[in-house]
Amino acid sequence: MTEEKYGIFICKCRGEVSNYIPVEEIENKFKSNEHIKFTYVSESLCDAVERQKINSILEKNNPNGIVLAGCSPRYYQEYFREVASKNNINAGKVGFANIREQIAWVHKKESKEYLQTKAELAIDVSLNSLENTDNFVATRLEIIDDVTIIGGGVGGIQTALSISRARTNTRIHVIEKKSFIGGEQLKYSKAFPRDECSACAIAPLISELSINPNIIIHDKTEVIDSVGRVGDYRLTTRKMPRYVTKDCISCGKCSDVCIKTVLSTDGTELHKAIYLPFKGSIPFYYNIDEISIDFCKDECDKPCIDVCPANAIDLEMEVQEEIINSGIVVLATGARVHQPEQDDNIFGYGECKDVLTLHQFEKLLAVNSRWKGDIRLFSDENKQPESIAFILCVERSTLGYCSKYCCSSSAAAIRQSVEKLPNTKIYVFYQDQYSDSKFADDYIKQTKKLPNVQWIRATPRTFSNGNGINVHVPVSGGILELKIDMLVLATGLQPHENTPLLRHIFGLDASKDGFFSEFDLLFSPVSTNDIGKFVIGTASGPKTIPETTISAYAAGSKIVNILNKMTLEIPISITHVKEELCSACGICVKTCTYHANTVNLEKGVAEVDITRCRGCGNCVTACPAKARDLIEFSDKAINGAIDLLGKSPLNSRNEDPNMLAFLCNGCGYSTADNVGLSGAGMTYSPNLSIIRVPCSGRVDARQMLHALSYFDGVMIGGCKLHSCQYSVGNFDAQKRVFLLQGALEAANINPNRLKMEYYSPTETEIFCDSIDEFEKELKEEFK
Amino acid sequence: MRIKVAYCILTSCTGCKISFLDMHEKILDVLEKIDIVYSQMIQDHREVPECDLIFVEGSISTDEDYKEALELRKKAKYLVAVGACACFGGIPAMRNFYSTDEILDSTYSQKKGRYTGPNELLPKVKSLSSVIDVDFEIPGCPPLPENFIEVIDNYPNFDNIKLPTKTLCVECDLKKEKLLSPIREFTSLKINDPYEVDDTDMCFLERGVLCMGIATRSGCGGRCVGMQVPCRGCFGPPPQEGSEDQGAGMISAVASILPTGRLIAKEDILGLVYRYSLSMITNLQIKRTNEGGNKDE
Ligand code: SF4
Ligand code: SF4
Ligand code: SF4
Ligand code: SF4
Ligand code: SF4
Repeated sequence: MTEEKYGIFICKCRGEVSNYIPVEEIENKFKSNEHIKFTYVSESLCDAVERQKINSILEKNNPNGIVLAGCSPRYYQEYFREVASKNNINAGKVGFANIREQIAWVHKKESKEYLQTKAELAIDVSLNSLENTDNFVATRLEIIDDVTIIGGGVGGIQTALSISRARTNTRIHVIEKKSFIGGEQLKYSKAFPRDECSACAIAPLISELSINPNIIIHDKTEVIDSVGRVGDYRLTTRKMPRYVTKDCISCGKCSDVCIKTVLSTDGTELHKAIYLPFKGSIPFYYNIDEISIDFCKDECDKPCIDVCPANAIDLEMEVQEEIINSGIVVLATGARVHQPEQDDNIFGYGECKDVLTLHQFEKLLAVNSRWKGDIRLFSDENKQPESIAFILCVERSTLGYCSKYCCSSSAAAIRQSVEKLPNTKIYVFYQDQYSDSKFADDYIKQTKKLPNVQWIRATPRTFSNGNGINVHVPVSGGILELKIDMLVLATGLQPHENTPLLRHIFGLDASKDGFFSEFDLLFSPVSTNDIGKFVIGTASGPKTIPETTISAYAAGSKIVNILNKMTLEIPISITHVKEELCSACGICVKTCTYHANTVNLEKGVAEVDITRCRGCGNCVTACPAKARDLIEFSDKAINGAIDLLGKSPLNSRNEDPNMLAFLCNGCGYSTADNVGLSGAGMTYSPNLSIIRVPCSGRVDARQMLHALSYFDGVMIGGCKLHSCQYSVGNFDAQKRVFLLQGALEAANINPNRLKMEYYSPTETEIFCDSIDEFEKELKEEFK
Repeated sequence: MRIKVAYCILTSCTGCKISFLDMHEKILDVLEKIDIVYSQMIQDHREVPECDLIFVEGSISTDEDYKEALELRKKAKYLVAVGACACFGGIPAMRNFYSTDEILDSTYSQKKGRYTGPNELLPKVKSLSSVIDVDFEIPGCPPLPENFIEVIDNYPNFDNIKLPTKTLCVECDLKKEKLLSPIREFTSLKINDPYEVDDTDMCFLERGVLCMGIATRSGCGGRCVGMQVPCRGCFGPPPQEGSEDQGAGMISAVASILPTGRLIAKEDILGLVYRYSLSMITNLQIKRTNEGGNKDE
């Protein structure tokens, strides 16, 4: 130990500790240690009076660091670190010895000597880690007061508005790929739940957005690159030309004289080459799509240019790249409606013209559609369907999830069909019904009572020939055969086609379905692995409109919180990369799930973005050169703990196997704490030693071997798979254990001396059982 | 005064000596500076005399090696460990994963117990530098001829010789792409044997081939990787304290970048990650001690 002088507080916890552990004897032992400046035994450290006392003791003695021996650090860690900082002791120099949960309460039945030695050891381990922990430091970052929202659908708009209402000076960029904001659904004429036109429903929001001078709408724009960190991102955008300048007064004269008619690829819209997506679309000026421009330039006499009174048409307009700086980025890029593959022959989609997706059908119902809202057959536009069948949950099993919007959307379409074609027979084939609200349920039920509408719970088979569609419905007693003119397939939502590219640009992870993944589905559903980036709406998975709105508000409030602070304090958990050791091998870059690492190619070394690092230690474990370390839980602290615990006389006190468990702060360690806390008299082998680590991913194969050199068995206890608080640490730990077991086995050493377990903090019995089991196996091995 | 130099060999393949002699015309300059007073193969001296500098190649595998190492230390003013065997156990130390009986049986006889060689095998092979103090270590299997020249040029101020501290990737010309992208996905969906992949200019790890370069100290100039052969780690572990166990370092590293479940089935994992350096694993075969660490009994 160096010259540093430490203080030790030992808490009796009103007898909870002192009834079992001879605290005075422990105090005496440490008192005589030359590196210990003072010791103090307290009746109860968390008591208000005692808290005052701590302050005065610290003031008087002015130690370099302190160890608090008492309850688990889970309870008062933050509090005591705060108290210490106020007394000029860095938070990194505040250590804990968990002598209540993990010693007094679980090993009550052991001898006093055992409990005393074990508690002293815990204090020694804590002192050792203080020695090997550098001061904690934090850094402050300025936050640029600009937000960029990618995607101008309902979610993007709502996010922009919720931020703008709280922060009137924040500049908000809304980046939209299409020529208008509001999303594709804006084109629907009547929508769930109020049967009003979608554009009308969202009109107040859009107008609030468009009159706010601090909200800048970038239409026909995509993000092509992003660099930077929270508070200071630099996005490169590419804006496709509209070929109509902002001078356009939307008189529509150009469209009237335009000689070219364009049918949208899905066959539902028919418009001129120069057109307004729909009445009142924002931005409110005309547009020429990229597919028409060659015709305009090369094959047309351009009457539009002559008639335009504002001189707004510019066919030579070019693609523009722009750099946008912002402090925060929101991904509100939405999802896309699944379109069955033609080759898969899903209910004849793609083969028979009158098989549509629900999305196509809804667009057809709109007044600005191809037939001005009339429902006609694609195979013969002079005819109206005499019968329509809706099929819900199409390909749901392929997608693997419920898309939530289709039932209510289908119901809205059914209502309109009945209105428009009162004599047409309508069948609805369904399996399940999803309604997320009291409202939706009624709304859907009402369609069941409409005349000529029949809901049938079955999956039909369809056969199309040139002449209508034959539908075979399995019913009790045989097959019901129907002849249908038009088939509408309610297909689900899939990740937007741009999602993979955007994930790469922004370095975000995907869920297994390919949507952006939330940081934590339960408690941080709009956050991502980067604290400056948020994901809302259907970009992270199917949502109803209310859910999208809620997610927008959630992100809005989180963002406002960050912006209000103007700066961000970020605790630094990791050291700089030691440049003389790092060869830029890239292992850490690939290992960190928060994308905190990059390789600086010029210098040929890795660099850590401390604003992204959360201190899990997975990269420290992975770095083969040991060119990096954590500040808390440093290599020396952990290896020192292994040595201290391994060399302890407790290890040779009986013939029973000795075990060491590395338990993660998230689950494993809490589970062990809860064994003591449960009060049910539960216990586990006194020959188990515990080392706390931030994450199971912190445990290095080198440390596992080091531990095995002292202990008969070594166990890594992490969170359940998929529940790791650092999302992937336990997966990597599992693989390291698996590989090292392979190596042990190859060397003729029982691989079961090394073990990986997964706990959830309430599973105290499972914890005890697993230790018992482990002990039994080891006894067998070392008979 | 020319430096009196001896070159001695313990358990090894004599490859390092070939490398020593592989200096081409530079040997003329070197011979200006040294007198070789003992070196099997190139000279016929039976006894190692007291001398200024002894190069010792090979690991401590037999009782004879052990005795000789102590002897040599006494005779040398300065003693330099040469090659992977002397520095970190090398190829002979791979036998540490087995018992001496297993080794003798599989090596010397179909019929058990036939070995009647002159020397007793020690239970575990050790590196020379773990048995005696050495003044300098030249790593590599074999080392580069330049390393010998450097030692002679700097005699006796070996501290002036700065071995590189980074890992081998720094000397490797193969390119990385996936390893530099932070997206969490495997760099290859399959673990491949070297012969299964095409020669390209991509890092082996991105071709699914296990390359020890990430866990190996640089200095060789990347001679294997430069010839489209993955590194096997002969320059030993990186210098940082705590990274001595090359194999465990490799295991910790590849777990997060490759589908390592298949690795076990495919590779001789010990032979791969511990080909040239000692493993903490071999200490575990001795049961329950309170010593731990890298023991030397
Ligand atoms: S150039 Fe011709 S085709 Fe193009 S928008 Fe003008 S009138 Fe229409
Ligand atoms: S893993 Fe270590 S050696 Fe490799 S790039 Fe990262 S810090 Fe450098
Ligand atoms: S400690 Fe964890 S969060 Fe920080 S850089 Fe390493 S892997 Fe990423
Ligand atoms: S091939 Fe090997 S030495 Fe070369 S960069 Fe890849 S891991 Fe490093
Ligand atoms: S590439 Fe690796 S195995 Fe080959 S010489 Fe260099 S260190 Fe040795």
